[in-house]
Amino acid sequence: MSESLDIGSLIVAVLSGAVLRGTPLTYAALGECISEKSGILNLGVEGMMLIGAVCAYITQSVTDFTLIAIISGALAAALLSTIHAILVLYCNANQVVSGFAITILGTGLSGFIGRSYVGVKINGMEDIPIPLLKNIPFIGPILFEHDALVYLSLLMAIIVWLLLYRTRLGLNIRAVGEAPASAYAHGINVEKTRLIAVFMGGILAGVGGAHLSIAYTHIWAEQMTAGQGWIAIGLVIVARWHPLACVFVAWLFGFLLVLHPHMQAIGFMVSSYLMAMLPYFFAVLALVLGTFAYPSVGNGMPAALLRNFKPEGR
Amino acid sequence: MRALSKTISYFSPRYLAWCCCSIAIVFIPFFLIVGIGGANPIRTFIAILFGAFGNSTCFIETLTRATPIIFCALAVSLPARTGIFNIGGEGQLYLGAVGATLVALKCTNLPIPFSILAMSITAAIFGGLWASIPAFLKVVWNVNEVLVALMLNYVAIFMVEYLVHGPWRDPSAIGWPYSARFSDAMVLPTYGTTNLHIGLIIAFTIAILLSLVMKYSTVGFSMKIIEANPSVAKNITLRISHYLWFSMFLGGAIAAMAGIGEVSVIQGRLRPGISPGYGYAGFLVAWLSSHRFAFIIPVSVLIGGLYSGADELQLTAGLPSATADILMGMVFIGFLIGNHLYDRYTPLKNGENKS
Repeated sequence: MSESLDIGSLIVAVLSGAVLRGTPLTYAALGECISEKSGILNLGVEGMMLIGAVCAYITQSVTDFTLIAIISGALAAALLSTIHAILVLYCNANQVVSGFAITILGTGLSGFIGRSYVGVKINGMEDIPIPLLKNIPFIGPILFEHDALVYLSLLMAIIVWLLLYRTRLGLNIRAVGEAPASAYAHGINVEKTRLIAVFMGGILAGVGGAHLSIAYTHIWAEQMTAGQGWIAIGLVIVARWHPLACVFVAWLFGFLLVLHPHMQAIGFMVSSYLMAMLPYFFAVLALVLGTFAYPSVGNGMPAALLRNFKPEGR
Repeated sequence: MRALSKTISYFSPRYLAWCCCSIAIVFIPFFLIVGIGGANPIRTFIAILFGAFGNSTCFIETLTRATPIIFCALAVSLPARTGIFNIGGEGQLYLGAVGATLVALKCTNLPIPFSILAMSITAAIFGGLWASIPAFLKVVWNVNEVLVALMLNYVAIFMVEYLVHGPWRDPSAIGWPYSARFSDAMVLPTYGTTNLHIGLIIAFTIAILLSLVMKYSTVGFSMKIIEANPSVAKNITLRISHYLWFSMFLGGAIAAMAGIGEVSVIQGRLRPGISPGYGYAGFLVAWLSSHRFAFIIPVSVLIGGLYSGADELQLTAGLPSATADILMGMVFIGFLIGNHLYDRYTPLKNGENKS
């Protein structure tokens, strides 16, 4: 095998791994995007992903029916996000603190529920190569030889974009995220709209967690997300709150997360622990660049993010 | 942002009652979960209580657990008084541990008071600088300090992994990712043969000092103004960025103290996983005590009790250590609900505006 072919196949392997690894991040980031567009920062993504991962995993191992597994993961995470929504919307809680509580709770619950499933084997999701498209040189094996959730994530990014920018609900979500008082004056139910947005965010975070456990690792381990929920939140900032940009930024982080085994394969010897720091370092760097390059105006950040809204007289 | 005029009487009996009731109610789902998990809820509750405060051994364990939590909570509360979030307590704790280990491994022949002093100063500088990163980014480019600090937590954890797998690995501990054991001069004084160390007294002292500073000094008053109303602070030419940066630096230095205790006394060496989330527990405690330094100590002891109670559960009921996390999450949620109920059902005093 010639040198150039080897490098070529390595690049394809890395990029294909990046897409696969970036998919949970894509889902979580899309969910967070909807939630933040409505003005609610949900710092519970880490906990919601874990709960989604463990519930999907258990359902998969019990029923062996992938669709039900994904749905159960999504619903479990959505329930958790509803707690956040209730605390923030109806108890006027600080969004950072409430989200953080959700993460602690989700981490604990997932460890508790999943304790007897550590090391249990499941039949994970299988890759479904798309005929014709997979034959495109280079792009085919990178994008079109994955499991169904990867394809769905692309579709989902478009759906979320359409939802936010082409539907009445999306308009309402953006309105309550930019100017809740005006939206309220126009007869939009701010709390209900925000609740729906946070709930949808929970569903997507749960699907992301489900992809992680039943499609990517095929095992359940306590705290298996290892900070990916937090990365997803940072990713939304880097993607300027735009659903389609979320996908590409997620793939970029997926690339960083899969890089180090491949680096060692080509003889680039760096401690794997130093390489493991890289995505987090890069996240900080991206946050700085993202905030620095787009100062406050016109950067897509919802104006009422982190601001709780109470209608007068309540 | 809270207005300066708002007078919430924290720790009035009404407030405490609302919070305790909500936390108690929120505990019901926990016991349901435990019940479904196959354990007797009432016996679980008794096991937690016994594990936390049952006898002197348990209580000393609780205090030992409370020590790092007090440090981490102070590290959250001090910056919070200027209105900046410090969720990086976990990373600062790890950096403190790294700083302490650096001294312990490289300056082996220091005599006893100097060894501990050198360890503390190095750890404080490490933790403080680590905490300064999010503060600096916040001040200069207005980067979200919560996310940066969280990312840095993971970087710090991997840094410790790297050090104990690589340069600092003890050659005599074959295959184990440990640093060499600390020499006797590097171990903090302890109470008898227990793990309860002098850190508790230091934590007490820092908490009292900080509350005195907040109450009686100009610096403390300036911080109150910055928290309550940054634009007023700007108008009276307070240098807000300096306060933010310095409070974060001090916070990081305090959190680093928790790291020293863990590596020097509890583990005796640097190893991965020295903290079961004390940084996050500290964040919880700081909020539960509304950032009042004096209240951090009793609340930390309660949360420390939760940890040692969860240990007891692990031994007797076979419940996993994640139980402590569930409990903490529940306490947190209950507290937020209780806060709301207090706000909602407390009649306003004359001339006071709602929020």
